[in-house]
Amino acid sequence: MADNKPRRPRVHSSNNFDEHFNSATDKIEGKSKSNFLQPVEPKPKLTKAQRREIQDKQRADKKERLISEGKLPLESKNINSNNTNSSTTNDNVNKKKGSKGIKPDQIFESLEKTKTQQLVAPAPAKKQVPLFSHLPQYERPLSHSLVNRFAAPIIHTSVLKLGLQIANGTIIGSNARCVATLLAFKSVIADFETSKDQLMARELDKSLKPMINFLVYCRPLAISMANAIKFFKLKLNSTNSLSEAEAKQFMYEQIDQFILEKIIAADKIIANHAASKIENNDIIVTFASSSAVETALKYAFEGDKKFRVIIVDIRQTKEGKELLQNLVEFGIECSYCLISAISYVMKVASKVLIGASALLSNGNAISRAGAGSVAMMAHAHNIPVLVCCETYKFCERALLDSICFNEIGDPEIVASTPILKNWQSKDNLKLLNLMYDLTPSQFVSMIVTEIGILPPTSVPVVVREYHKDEM
Amino acid sequence: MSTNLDRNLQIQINEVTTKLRRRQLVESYVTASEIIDLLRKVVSSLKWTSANAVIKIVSEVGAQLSAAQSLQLITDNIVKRVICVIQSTTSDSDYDSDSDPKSLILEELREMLEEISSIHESICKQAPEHIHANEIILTYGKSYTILEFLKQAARKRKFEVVVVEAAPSYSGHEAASLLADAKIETTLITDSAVFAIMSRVNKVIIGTRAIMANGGLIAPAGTHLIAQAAKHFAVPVVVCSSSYKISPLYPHEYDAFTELNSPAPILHFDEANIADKSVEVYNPAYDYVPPELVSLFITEITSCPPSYIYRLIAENYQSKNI
Repeated sequence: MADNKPRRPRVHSSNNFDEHFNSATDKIEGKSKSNFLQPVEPKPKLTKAQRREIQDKQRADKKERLISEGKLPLESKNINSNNTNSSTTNDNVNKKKGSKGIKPDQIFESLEKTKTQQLVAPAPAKKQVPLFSHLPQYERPLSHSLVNRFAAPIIHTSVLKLGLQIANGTIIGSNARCVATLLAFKSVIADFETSKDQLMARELDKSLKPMINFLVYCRPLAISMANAIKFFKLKLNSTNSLSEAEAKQFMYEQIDQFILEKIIAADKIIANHAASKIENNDIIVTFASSSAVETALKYAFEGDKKFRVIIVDIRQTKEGKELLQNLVEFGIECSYCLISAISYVMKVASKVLIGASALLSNGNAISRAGAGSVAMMAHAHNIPVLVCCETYKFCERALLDSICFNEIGDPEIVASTPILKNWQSKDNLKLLNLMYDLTPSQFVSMIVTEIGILPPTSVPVVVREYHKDEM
Repeated sequence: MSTNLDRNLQIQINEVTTKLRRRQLVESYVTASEIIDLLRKVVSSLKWTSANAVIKIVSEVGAQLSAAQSLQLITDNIVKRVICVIQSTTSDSDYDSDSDPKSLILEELREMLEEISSIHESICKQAPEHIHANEIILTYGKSYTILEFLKQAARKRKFEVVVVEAAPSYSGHEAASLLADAKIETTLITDSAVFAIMSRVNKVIIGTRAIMANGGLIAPAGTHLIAQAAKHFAVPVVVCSSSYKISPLYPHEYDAFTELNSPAPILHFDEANIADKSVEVYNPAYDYVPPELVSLFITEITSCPPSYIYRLIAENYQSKNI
């Protein structure tokens, strides 16, 4: 090669790739002095195994570098050094057992990674119900002091309080959680100070992220909360042209308006519609507790209708008992039973009124676990089922069963008898506490919303027409 | 009692009656063996006069036992079977020339008692036929027959069981614990999650308290919900039961064979501040499950669909008696 001809650009065929690779690495390391005029020393030919070793080493180095920069999740994909076929890419995806959707180090950004890892103990894999291992498993919420110590500078106190209240069940129900979240955000805005020459929208957005992640960590967001947060962010982004004080005022008004229009006023309109469907001598069956249904029953009672209510409850929560108390104090004649008595009660029922946590675009309803059973029994006895739901809970997702998307609650609640005191030590025993349930659209006779009484097939229309403007 | 029975025997009858009244006889096979035993003693203590006289005495004892626990249909079933046995042995043979009819009857009753102890074996022998590998089986509450059934199947097959806890009795908790101890993968769920999980269940295997003449079930409260959900998801419902639970009665009303238990486990009086208002709290003990929702009965005699039950009744309870 000792001629002065300019070297022709090489075509990178697979045969020559390794040489290129090696010459490139040599260049990086500054070893080669190759230029067009100098002869290139032949590189030593490496065996396939040696080349693979070098590649793996470089991959591992890169992975470490990315982890230390916080760009890769810690429970990381399995690097299979023996991969020769494509099936291992599937393994990589499936190896994320036991990891939560939101990683703790994203929440506590300013802390060292090691500290945050110790705070969160993932659920032991053998106690996960295999059918639900794709969902975030239940973890006990952090104790108050721990959270305070670590999170105070990042997470506003009202959000902290909200998170803990939601986590221990003080605030339950999609409406309650949604309203509480928006009010907490109001306090966040009030205390927020934009740095000079920065847009409030962008900074607030950034500082809200860890707070929202904290709320998710306390308890996965309900669809209503998610919709409300989407609305909030949309409105926030439209404040770019306003000064800070004006923007804050605007946001307060928007939040208040949302709560008033979409929740409080909507409940009243829904109650009116539903009350018009209740007749004298009706026996209304309702399930667990829904604020919309409660208001509807009270309106109907005030409208001098004579009817009876049977509250079908589940034993895990106190919701049904609170509803019973409220209705009895109001003067309505009530009965109470558990869901195992649904067959006994459905024989005398004339209508079923239930609430929903969300309505999906294929007309299925997501509500408290057990509502699907109630709707199914009603359908089997030809009893109409009315679902009372505000439009802000409509979402464009579509689900076909209660398993792909659900929330797993505290398994200790299921272990309520002394027989199961040591259930953790029994290897083959798992406890499952599902929070939500999918009611198929064929069981729902009509959906009562503030824009009218709709059939289940109208949900995607509402989502398209109403949400695109306002959400 | 109108006839004079031996005093010791009367005491024994009263004992069993008290146990029934106090709901101390819980498991059906225990109840059945006690009643058969008692009736055997009654028959053996009698002087043989005529078949009808013996039948009359047995009926009176039976009436006393039924009155103690009115919905324990097993008592009625066993009494009817014993009467049927008496009738068939005395009408088949000519007892003037034959051996003592009383000993024949006692022999039959002894066989009946022995059969009771082997009923579970016969039912559980069929277990591997109905369960395949990697199935998810759903069961409701605790039934001794079902537990034995599943344990027997687990010896040959690997499958998972989902147990529904059956509030407010929480009998499912004990069942789940026992199944887990028998090394079967068990998941315990609350009653509210039945509809959610039913789409992934392959089979529902339940026990029952009684089987009515039309093939319907009188089963612990909540079973109707399970059966209806299974129908919606096209999951077969298999009922394992012994044949002495088959009753010749028809369920003329949905709540004719259920009773309402104390509401305290559901709503304790200090749980809701409603003391001065009248609130009805329902705690039904049993559900009626219509025969359309049941796919298969597995008894120790045979496996059959609900439409075959009338044949089993005709075999065991002769029409003259019903």
